[in-house]
Amino acid sequence: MSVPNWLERIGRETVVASRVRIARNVMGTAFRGTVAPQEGRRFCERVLEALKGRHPAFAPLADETSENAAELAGILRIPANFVSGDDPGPWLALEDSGRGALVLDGDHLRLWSVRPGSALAEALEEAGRLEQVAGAILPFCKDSDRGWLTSSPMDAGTGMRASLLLHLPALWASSRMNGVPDAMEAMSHSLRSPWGGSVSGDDAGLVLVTHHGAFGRSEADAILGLVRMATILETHETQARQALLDERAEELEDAVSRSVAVLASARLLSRRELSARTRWISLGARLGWVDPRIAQAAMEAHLRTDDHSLLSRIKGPPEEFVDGLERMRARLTAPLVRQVTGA
Amino acid sequence: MSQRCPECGRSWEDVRRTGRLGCPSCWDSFRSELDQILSDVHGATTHPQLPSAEEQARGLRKAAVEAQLEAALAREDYLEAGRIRDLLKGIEE
Repeated sequence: MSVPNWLERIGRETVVASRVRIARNVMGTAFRGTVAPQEGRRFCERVLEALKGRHPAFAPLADETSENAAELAGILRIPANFVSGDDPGPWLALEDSGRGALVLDGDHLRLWSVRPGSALAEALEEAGRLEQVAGAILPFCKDSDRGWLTSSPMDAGTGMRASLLLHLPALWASSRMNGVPDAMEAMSHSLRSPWGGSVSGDDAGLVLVTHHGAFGRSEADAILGLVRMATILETHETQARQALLDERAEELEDAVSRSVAVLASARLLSRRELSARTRWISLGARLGWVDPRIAQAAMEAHLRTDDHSLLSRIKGPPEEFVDGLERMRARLTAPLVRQVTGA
Repeated sequence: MSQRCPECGRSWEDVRRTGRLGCPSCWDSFRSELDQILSDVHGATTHPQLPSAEEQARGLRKAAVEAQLEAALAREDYLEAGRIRDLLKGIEE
């Protein structure tokens, strides 16, 4: 199983990935809510056949029954129901985990680009290029007053949703995260878990910041707003790291060293423990105390063992898999960490 | 009985319940209801005519590189300024 291309930013940077998604709909075709499964499938086939070979990101095609599609969906954090055989979608047209089109996800097409680090403009340019290629073949719905027409009024206008994946281990470790999501909300941005729902201390310090709607203003405005939010959060993260160093240096050093040792030797690891250890190790990496590759190995283990639905498809029945999850997590983590530390 | 979209048959009640329109024609069929929602949520009922996403992205990248160029010139780092200028030319092309 491959890992996301932003993993190497863990332990080195605060903004670890940039993602832009553009929703587009084809004229004269109903949205997903009113379409019958067979009709949806036919539509997907038609769209993907039209796009095939037009851009490297639109090939090869993977259908929803292949293991490859399940893996890619997991990497891209596509909800598990999109890889269910009962659903008209998804039909993934992907070359790698960084860009592609997901067809019939509420809207007919969602064209996206994921770039490592702080690179929203590059991600927008890439998604825009995919849009140009697809738009030259498929007649997209655009209205002179409403912009790009989408199935949800929330996405109308630009049809764009941009987000930044941030790693904030110091804010979590110093318990300074309380109130941050509300503050972001007051500034018209959402702070969420990368796995959906509210931010959580069990996500190894990762959070996703997204702008509210993008109707009545440009894509560029929304992106500049997001960059401003990331700068604010980055400043707070730096301050929290310095405060930990000033006030709890010995405790911090102990937690970092202890976490490296635990991940190299543990036989059982809960998600919560792996998340906390990953945060401490990442903090240690930012302070130059440990090799960032250890933080990346810990995060890789966290990412690879966090999605039950995805893993159950690959490894077997969910109940069997869930019972052995703590053991599996430790088995995955120890060699990764030992490999880097040379232990 | 509430009005239905002639294309997909979805009623405004359906749209309210699911948060989703049934087809592109629903945007015309429920224009006044949608205007109200757009105004409440986005503070606007019309979306401006804008350059393409790709063009806007290029503008953002260009602005960022221009700021770097200005900073390099301000600290009289002409070697770096030359490198950035080449980068700028690449974006403009």
